[in-house]
Amino acid sequence: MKQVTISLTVNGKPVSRLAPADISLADFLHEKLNLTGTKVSCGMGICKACTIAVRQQDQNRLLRMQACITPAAAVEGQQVLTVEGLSVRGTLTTAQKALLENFSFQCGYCTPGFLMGITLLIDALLDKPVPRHMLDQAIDEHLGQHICRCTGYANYRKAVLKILDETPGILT
Amino acid sequence: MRMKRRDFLKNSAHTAIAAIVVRYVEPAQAHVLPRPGVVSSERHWWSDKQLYEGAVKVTGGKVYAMDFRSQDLPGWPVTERRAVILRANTHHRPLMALDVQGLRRQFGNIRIVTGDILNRWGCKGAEPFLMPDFYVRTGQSPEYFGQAMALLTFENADHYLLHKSKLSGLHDFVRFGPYESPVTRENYGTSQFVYYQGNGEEPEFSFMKNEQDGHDPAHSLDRVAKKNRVGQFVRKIEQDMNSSGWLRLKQSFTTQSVDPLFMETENGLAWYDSASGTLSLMLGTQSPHEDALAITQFFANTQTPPIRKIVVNCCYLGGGFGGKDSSDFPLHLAIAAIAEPDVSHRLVHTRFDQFQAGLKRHAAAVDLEIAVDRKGQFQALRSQVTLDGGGQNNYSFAIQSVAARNAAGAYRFGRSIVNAVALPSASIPAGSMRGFGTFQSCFALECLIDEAAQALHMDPIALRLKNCIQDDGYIHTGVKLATPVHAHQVLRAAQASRIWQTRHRTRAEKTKGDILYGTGFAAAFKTFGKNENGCLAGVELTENGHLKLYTPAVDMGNGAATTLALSLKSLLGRPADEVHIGVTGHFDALQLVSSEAKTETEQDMLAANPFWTPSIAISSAASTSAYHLRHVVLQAARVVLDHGLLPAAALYLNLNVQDLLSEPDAFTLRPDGLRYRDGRVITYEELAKLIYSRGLISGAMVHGYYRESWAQAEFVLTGRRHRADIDGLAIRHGQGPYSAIARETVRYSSLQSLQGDANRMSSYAVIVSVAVNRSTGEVKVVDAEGFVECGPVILKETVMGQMQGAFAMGIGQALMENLSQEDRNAGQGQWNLHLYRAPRAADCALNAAEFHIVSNDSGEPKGMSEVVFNPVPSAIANAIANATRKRFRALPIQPKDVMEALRT
Repeated sequence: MKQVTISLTVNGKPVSRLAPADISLADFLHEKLNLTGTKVSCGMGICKACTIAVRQQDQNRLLRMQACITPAAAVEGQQVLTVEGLSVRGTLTTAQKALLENFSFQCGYCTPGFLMGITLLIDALLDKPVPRHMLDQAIDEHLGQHICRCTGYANYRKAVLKILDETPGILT
Repeated sequence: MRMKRRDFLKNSAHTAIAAIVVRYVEPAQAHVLPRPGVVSSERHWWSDKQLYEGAVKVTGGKVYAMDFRSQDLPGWPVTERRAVILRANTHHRPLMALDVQGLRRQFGNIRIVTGDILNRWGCKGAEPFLMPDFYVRTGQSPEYFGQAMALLTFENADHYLLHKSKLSGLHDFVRFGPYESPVTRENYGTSQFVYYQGNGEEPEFSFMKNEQDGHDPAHSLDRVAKKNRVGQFVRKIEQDMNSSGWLRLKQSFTTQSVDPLFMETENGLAWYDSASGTLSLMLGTQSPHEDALAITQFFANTQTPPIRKIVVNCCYLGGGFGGKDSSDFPLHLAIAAIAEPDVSHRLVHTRFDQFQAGLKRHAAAVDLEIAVDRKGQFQALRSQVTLDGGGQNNYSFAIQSVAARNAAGAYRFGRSIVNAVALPSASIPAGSMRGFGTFQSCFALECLIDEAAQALHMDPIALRLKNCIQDDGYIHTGVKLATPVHAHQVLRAAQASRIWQTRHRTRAEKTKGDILYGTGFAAAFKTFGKNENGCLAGVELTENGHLKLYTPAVDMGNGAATTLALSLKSLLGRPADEVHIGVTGHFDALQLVSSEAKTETEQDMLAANPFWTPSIAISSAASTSAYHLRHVVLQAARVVLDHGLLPAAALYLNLNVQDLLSEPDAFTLRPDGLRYRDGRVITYEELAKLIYSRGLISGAMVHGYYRESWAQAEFVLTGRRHRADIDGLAIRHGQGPYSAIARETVRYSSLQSLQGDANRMSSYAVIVSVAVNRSTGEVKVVDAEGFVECGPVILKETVMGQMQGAFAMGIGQALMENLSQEDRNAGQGQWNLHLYRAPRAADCALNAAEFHIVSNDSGEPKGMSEVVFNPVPSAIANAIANATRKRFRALPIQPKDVMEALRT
């Protein structure tokens, strides 16, 4: 397997690294950038722990990707957002605070994935607001496949509802 | 005498000598935020409004072993190899050849350690926990699926990544011979408990009262059954059952093997420094001390470089549930490090590896009979619990015992015969998993009690209320409970609940079309802690008035760090500012020594050494944080308070310290300091200044030993006698070092209590409603209420979180998860989440399920993280029975099972 140079922007910073051509985005983040916030659990894209967001060139919307099964080369030139890039200059986001205050996680290994899923959910709703009675469906579409083994999901849901409640512009 | 892992290691022919140090790994923030434990300008940057380590978790900082690389660790060699384990995907077929040359042609310059090499080195797994041949040797057959055959090490991460996609073809380089019949292996352990109440207040016969031989894991069933006196009461019980006219229900139940499915797979780093003989590990493990002991044993008296010291750097865990308690994973890391000293090694289980080799829950078969009189009084219980321990013993010897010791829950059966056995098999090894054997017993019991209620036309909760042990009665092993189990409280709360009160009407309303609706109930009463618990804690006041807490507890998401930190509030007015979890090395200053006493006389002799204790420390299991570990935290805090803070306050107030000690109402401790009755407030900073300038006691570390009750000792401190429920103490003055204080006196409970079990129970009752689709067989959980009694609650959110999480896990156990499938086997290495269905949010009735803490502010907090799991699957099975009028006695209950039952 040959090595290639892969260049992309991660959390606003351009990066360029030599890596195996088929390296996964997760491995690229971990081994080439020492950004270990994105967690790998199943390695098959099923558990959603490795969720990251990509903003493609000339696109406003964020796109969900599972870093464990996405080749880093597939996001060449694009903007990748990981959990490490959520808070700005050390200030926690509304979502991070909500998960903390609602005791939404226990071991926390799935939490970065949930946070990115929530980021994508908000981005989608801001782009296309929904009526209140469709909110549950929207939450289920974006977060329903995330696996958490510790919490039973109840406090994640509680926090998400609170976050959405405090986010203007997501409801029609 | 119940055997513990340490006993096996101590009794082994090989004497291992290595100092073991367990250290805390401080999470590192990804951003500039206050780090846990770092002083910030704001005193209480974290509060009981969030988890202690929560901020670093939500910002993607480095928390878990999975996050760290050798470059992150000061002093570690930056060169980091990457290892992979080659495991058998079959069993009882001899390993004919491992094509080492072929592997090197495929993967380049890799180092390979095989079973033959380990054998040449002289390395042996410590029996019975492990098999002697840890890796399969050439010509040998793997005894079980997933048994390791070789360790392959790549040069570095890049080398590994270049070849990662080819690793699925590793078995192309392995040749097995034809299948061989397995040699019969001894069982991993057996237990028998016979109980006969008779007419007196004390039982006429019980294990605790009459049979102190204990159970030896090596006992065969024949030897146990032949005990004359036991046999006499067995016959008496059978006679009573045959002649009484009681209602007798007898059924067989099976529960399946499942995976703990913690989200962070096992992984770690290791490095052996040849100059000092120090092996350093970085791990997320529930049992750092035991892991190190296993490593010393494995490499004792071998041809390998000597291990003089083992340092285990202990991280927060991304889940555990018992699956990271005494796993053999750390041994593989140690092998990598010893095989090539002076470089770092990293080993990571993929999820495929974790399914293939990680510890599982024991599959079980329970044959259960209960006898009930026509008034609904339980009369007799007979249970045979058979656990599948898989290919390695691990904790099977103990799990079968705990399954037996909890087989009757907290119900009064005047007569009981309970037998349990854990058997070897070719399955993936089973180990300590949430419940530790009690879930399997509970499933059978709670389902059969439900059947009894139906046969008697009684309310299932009323039947249980009639038969629960009141307060501190005897359970079927003859152990007398130390504290009330409060079973009636949770049962009455459940009986009065919304869901139970309306269940008939709801069933009538919601059973329509294809939907069959039903509601079921189950309860669990489970001991927490072990029969013997050695516990450590340290509390320090820093120079700037902050509180530091040291504990060997590891935090796997159960909130141990947070709840132990909060425990200080009750004594010192505020939580710890800084918590170091997973440490034991810090406690070396206690100068403790431990050894086993076989007789009371020997115990007395050994206890004359003021630094002797029967057992030093325990792993993070058995729900010990809330009670046992909290106890020692408060004991350490008491020393700092009585001999540091109060003397400092007395100096400040120009009083005698006795004035404060004799009048505890004269002051209160608050988050900012001590408030005297005259209104004066002395801040913690001021108190610290005095303590450090005058050399008063600024820190204490304690050891506590619990065996039926806490050991009590007396020490002389600052000229005063200090009596406490501890058996070891070290203190420091100001900035000085810690020095151990020789105790003046000590009192330990009788050795007889070692034969018993943990003597404290917590209680949980759960009601579940299900909608069963009769045309597809699908079962959906649609409503639930759970009620836990766990004594005073330290942090409500962690208790609620345990109930919610256990509920989801119980749904998985009841309806979805299954490793015991005939046509495919996780041990073959191809399992992942595409084959193993785990519960998602939509499965957990989030819009309806409610969980309640049944308040009890008296007594001490109780461990509850296991009891809240146990009854969930039986409640679901009982709900399905209520919906379909069919009983299901095998888990998981899947659509095909429901369809088949509805057809008959």
